[in-house]
Amino acid sequence: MSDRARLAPRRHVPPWARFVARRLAAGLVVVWGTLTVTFFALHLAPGDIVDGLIGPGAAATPALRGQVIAENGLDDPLLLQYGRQLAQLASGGLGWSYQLNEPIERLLGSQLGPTVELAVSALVTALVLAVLAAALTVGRGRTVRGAAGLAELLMVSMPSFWLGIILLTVFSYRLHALPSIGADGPAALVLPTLALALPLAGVLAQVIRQELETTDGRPFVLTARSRGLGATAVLLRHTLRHALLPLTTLSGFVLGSLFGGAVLVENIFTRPGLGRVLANAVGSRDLPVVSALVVISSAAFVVINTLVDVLHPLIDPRLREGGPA
Amino acid sequence: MYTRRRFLRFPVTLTAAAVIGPAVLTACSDSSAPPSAKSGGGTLRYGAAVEPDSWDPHAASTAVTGRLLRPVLESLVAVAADGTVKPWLADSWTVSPDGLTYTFTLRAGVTFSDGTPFDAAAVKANFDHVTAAKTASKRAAGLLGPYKETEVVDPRTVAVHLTAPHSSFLGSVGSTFLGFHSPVALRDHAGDLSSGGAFVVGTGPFTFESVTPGQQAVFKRRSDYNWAPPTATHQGQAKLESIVVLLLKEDASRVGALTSGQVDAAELIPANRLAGLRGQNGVQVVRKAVPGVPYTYYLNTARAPFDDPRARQAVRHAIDFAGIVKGIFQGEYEQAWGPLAPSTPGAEPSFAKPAWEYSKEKAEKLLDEAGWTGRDGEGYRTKDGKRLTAEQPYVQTFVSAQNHTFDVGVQDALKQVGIELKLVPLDSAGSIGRTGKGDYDVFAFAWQGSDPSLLGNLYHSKSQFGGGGANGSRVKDAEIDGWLDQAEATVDAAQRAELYRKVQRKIVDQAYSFPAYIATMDVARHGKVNGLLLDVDANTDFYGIGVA
Repeated sequence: MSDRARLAPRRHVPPWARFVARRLAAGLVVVWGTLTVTFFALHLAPGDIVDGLIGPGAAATPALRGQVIAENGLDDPLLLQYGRQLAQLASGGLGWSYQLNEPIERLLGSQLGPTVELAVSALVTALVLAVLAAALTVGRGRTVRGAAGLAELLMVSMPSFWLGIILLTVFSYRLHALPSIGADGPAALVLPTLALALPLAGVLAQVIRQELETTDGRPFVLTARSRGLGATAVLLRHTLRHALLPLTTLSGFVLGSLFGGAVLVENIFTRPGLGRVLANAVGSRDLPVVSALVVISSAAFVVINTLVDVLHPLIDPRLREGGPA
Repeated sequence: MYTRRRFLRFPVTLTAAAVIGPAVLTACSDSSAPPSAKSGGGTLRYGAAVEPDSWDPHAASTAVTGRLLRPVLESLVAVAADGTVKPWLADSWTVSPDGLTYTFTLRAGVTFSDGTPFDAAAVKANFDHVTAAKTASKRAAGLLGPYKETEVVDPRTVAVHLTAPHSSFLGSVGSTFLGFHSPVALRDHAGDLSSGGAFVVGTGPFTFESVTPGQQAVFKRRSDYNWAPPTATHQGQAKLESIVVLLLKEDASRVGALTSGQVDAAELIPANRLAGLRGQNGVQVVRKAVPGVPYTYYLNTARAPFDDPRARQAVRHAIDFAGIVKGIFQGEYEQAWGPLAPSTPGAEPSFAKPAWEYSKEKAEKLLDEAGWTGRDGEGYRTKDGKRLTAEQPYVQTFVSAQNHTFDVGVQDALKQVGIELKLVPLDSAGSIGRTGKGDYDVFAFAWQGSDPSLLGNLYHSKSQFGGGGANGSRVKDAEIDGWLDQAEATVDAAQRAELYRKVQRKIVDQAYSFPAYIATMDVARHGKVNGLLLDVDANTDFYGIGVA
């Protein structure tokens, strides 16, 4: 096989590239697995997929059912439909929505931008808030730490959609300071970002603080302090770097799940987004749309987490020794 | 959370028809009115409660598709508030004596916004598109009824042939769901129409500029528009320069956008927010009772326990509808008594008043008579050792929070007389599967429409779930079938109306189903919005709106 020939000089490939290639290959399996599970889960769920597509109350005449079935090939054997779905996605095209009767590329085209925008801005905001909160409170007295811990717990326990409604009520409906709807311009991004970022910041701050506190007692900190480094310098140069490792891992996970997982916040702020499309598609059993979104979001997951793993040795020299195997 | 928008989303198959008879079989148009000299403008920002499943009314199932595209796509006739049919894109029409052929004379000088003239060929292209298998029409094809074909007689004359008489046909063609796309759009972009935006080209006073799914749809005024129907408040071009419809599905977002001034008007305001909004300066609420079938409980008459009329009557007596309605809707809505809301053309007038009484004693007595005399450990009635249990499947995403609260109130009322009502949450496909098989005892839904012919879709023995109808009570009543068939076939308006009244009286008499409350469409607007009126279907009429 020519593949084998191409892979032959693999000894000369730098280890990190081999690592990335292996991870991406494994990622392909993950994407395929997710797609497969989704496909069969939607078919196995109680009720007929045709009913889901036609929707409730519509005059589901035998003639209309026949049209929908024939149009979408729903009477073919399940494995054939599954194969067709795989072939469609492998060809690079996302296909055609059963229920909305339009090409999926068009359906998602206007939704991808706002999703990426919101996910990235929420993550960055959460990271900044979390690092600030942890750095400012670590090593302080019992009261400060207790108060910070309580605040974090509060943030973590607040569901994003509820927080969203509170933010809307205060900043949009009462103060008229920020728009409550839409996705036009940076002003419209502020409240949805906060609604997603505050609970996340709570989680991240907890992780950072815990990491900072465990490293605080380590001998290298003592050494650094004895060299005459101030508390702030130790924090910035040494202990914070330790916390960076779990933080990047967690961030990769968070960013992945924000792709398509922000449906409630998208609904409250009437933002376009992939999460909203996914929720609608699952509700109406629109398989091609669900499959396309599952592929997109699981691929995003794989890529982001591969990036995170590539970053790890850069952050932590100990991981560099034998190469990131 | 979902509220009444879900109720209104419930699709209508036989809708928007009109009371017609020989007297209105021909009509003359009033096209002499001069175009309005006003060309002022302004933009209306409007908060809509539901997002269409498709922007092609010929394919769509959601009622909102028709509601939002009325400014773009027009119809052969217009239905007035009293249910009578007026000329629009058709100047006049005749119906053959056998009721099988409707011949329309089309208005001259009408053009689509892409410049294509509106003619008989355009009508044929559209009706062919509605009925094409590829369109998989979820609503529009049902409106055409026993459709056979459209014949182009000459450029201004078109004949629609049916295979059976269909007395609601003329009113149905007034629906936006049978509105006209440009034949050029149908030819070049049939596969794109569902996406909306510039693909959708009509003859209306507005053009469809763009749509962002999940966010908004934008419409712009057409300056050469001059063929408004006589039901319209003015002639000539629209008062608004543009309409931005924001798709605000969450009730809190919609009401909030209104109070913070981000929209000028918002529809489907939930009952519990009305009192607060009325208090705010400048905000006014425009209200109209939604015509059609109120939120109604259908009892499955095809199996025990509700095959016994005494059990059905007992349930009706046991529920304090007035109390529940008042509690949930804070006095904004009223209890309903008949199968059709009183605002529906053709509703039986006697059901504007109480048609039965709330009496637990009567309920208990009827259940005793029906043989449910035993009691089990939990206090529920039994017969031959079997508990009196009823299952009510429901779809969480399609039943509003308020209606679900209503169901829980009913459940509690029935428990007090010893009936166990189990509320079974299902997803849409699961629910359709169960109702199709008749595997339920109680099912509840509302159905919007402005013609009594929708009774045929709900009570005719042919209209079972899965067979193209929604006969929730699984009624097989030869007398009702006969009246419904006659009403469909007759061309005598008075006879038709009386037949539908008979059907309504028998439904109440037999307690096949009973309604809960009459919903209203409440549209709240800021003071700067004027001329906001609701049409015969309780939909916002954008053409007459102006902003100061």
